[in-house]
Amino acid sequence: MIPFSYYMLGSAFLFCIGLAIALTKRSAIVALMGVELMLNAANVNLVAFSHRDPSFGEGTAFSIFVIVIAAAEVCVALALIIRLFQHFRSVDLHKVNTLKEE
Amino acid sequence: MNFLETITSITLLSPLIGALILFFRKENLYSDKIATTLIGLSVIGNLCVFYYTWNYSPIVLQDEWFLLGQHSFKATLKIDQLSSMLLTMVSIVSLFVHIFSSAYMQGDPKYKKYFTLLGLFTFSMFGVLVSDNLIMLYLFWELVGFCSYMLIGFWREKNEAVKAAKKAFVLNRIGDAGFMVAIITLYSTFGTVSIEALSTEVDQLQILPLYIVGIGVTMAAMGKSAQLPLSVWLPDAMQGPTPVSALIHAATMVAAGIYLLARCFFVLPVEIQLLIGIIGGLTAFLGAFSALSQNDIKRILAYSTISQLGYMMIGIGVGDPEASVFHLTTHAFFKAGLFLGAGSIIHSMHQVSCDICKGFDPQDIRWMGNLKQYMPKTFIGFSVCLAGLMGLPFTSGFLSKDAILSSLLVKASTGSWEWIFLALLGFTAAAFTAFYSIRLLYQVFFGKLGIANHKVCKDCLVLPKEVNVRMTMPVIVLGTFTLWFFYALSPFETSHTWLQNGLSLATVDTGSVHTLGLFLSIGVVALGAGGAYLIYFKDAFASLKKQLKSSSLHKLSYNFAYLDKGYKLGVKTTLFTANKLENIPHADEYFVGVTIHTSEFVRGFDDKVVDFFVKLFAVVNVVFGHMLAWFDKVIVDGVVTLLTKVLSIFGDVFRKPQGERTQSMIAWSIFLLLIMVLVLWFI
Repeated sequence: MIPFSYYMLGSAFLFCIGLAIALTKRSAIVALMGVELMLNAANVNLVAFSHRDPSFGEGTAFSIFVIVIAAAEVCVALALIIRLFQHFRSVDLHKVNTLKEE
Repeated sequence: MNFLETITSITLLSPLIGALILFFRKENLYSDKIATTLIGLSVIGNLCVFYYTWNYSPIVLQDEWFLLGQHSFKATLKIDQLSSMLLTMVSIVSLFVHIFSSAYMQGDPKYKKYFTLLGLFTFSMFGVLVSDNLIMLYLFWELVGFCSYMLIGFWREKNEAVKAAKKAFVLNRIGDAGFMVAIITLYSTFGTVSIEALSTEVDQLQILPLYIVGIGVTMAAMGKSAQLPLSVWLPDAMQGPTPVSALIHAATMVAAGIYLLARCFFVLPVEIQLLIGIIGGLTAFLGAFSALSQNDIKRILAYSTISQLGYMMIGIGVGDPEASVFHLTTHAFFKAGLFLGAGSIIHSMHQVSCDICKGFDPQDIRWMGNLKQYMPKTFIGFSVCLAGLMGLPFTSGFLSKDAILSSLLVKASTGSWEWIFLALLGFTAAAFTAFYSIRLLYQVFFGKLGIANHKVCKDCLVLPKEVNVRMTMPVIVLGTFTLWFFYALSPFETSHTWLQNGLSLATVDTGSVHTLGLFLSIGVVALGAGGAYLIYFKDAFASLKKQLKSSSLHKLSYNFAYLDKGYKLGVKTTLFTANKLENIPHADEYFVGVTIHTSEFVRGFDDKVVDFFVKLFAVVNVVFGHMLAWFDKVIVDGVVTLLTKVLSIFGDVFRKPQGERTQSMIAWSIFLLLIMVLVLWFI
């Protein structure tokens, strides 16, 4: 039986890794991966809470919803990245800054 | 609509329905029967209404009439005791006039039109009696005037009739103008024209409008009720058919004025009451005085009506409208009886004469005489009514006239000279009334038949006959109404008859002078009647009589104090002046010159003065407009711009440190989010 705090620490760790990737990597695809990691850290949290207090039985079902929606979101995000590439001929996030004020 | 309202509507509308039916019919046949039936219906209905209002409560019918601005006018019919009593009186008199007319007017080519007008006349009088809204009352008031105009001038091929009708109409208009002013003043002062609302709102402190209203209403009553100096139309109104005279003199036309004053008594200030009293006193005196010397039977009765109306005005003046209305009612019955009786007499005198008899006048009492023998039924009815007119004890006329005279005595006993003077006039008029009544009685029913003494006429004389039952019956029934027991159990109880008690109008307590009043009125009646009896029946004082007849006093009396002449003189003077003006050469050129100069001056004034002010006004407006524009641009717009600037500075403060890159922006958001969470955590 793994203690509950391990789940928490694990998911916090995972979230921080995802955040670091999303904030530091220049490639849009890798940043998207970081976002996915953050999402799954939240999923781990949901399952862990559900496991600890089974009266909230919906936690696992909710995480499955999150996974499905994340898949859909990835589709949209990849499509956006393709359009980005077609427009800028690059997926470097540092170059995608034309909205900023001069 | 409940049962009572239905009855009331039928009662009030049935004369109008009768008039409409007759109006749309072609032939004369059955006109009298239709009209009489509908009036009879109205009489029955009025008796029911009378019973109801007298025992229970006033009947009120109300409906929205029209909207003037924010003020809605209501057409209100209100039948209280006063209205219902007069309604009953009017309908009963009208019924008898209808019955009488059916015989009197037989064979007239305008038979149908006559009954149409009678119905309309009765209806409009009903309208006057039931309207609570003064504007509505005014409309019916005018309708009464119009119907009387049509009926006085009914025989329009007679020039005199047309003239008399015009005279009545014009003199009534003078009074009506006063009524209109009164209504307008009431509306502008109190904001309402409903009598009921006014009676609670009238504030005796607002004295000036009340004077105007008082004078206006008094003028209206003077016109309709033939008071001096507007009374000259009434004797001439004799040109209409005799039953119409009965209706005008008894029930409809002249009653309207007294009714209006009794209804509006609460607005009359004391000074106006004194004015009414003085007008009434003079009218009573002059009417009775003029009746002394007339030879036309209808003119005698007409002047007696003027005089009796004067008594009613005195009653209003002394603050006893209750007695006035009582006298109005009793007077209506006996005066209608007298006129219908006179109609019968004239009717049968018409048959006496023949073609060769020149100068014969069926209305002249000098041609009559000894009719008691030929027309016994008419004699009975006529003389009972005459007793009422004289004010003999045991008649209704005595009760009501004494009620007025007692109130007058109460006022006079306070010692103010105007009222003493009025009391003198009133009692003298009562003596005169007795005198001319006896004279009339003698000339018509006693003595010798005048026409039989004429050189030419006696050859072709046909003795007068009693008229048919449809003409005698109304006179006798109306004579019955003249007896005291309809009004009071005791024939000497003049102040608390059931009619007076039920009316609940203002009155005067006459207890202190009751006996004195009784003796005085019986005394003056005895004096007048006794004098006349001695002169006419016993032929005493023949030389005095002759002397009086040739004196100027007689002429004054015969010509009604030359009032008519006075009016004519006034009109002639105006016409004369107008003619004189027309005859001055080039008078019109002066007028044109003056007009041109005036217009030149007006034009110059317009150019220089008025235009200057208009231009000044325009300049001021433009300057003001510029000032407003500056204010709008600088102050109002400035505030708005300042607000946007402040907001954009705030935005820069938060936006600038976030850098240019997407990821640094996200980092900043997460950092701020964390700070917010921490802050929320620790608060």
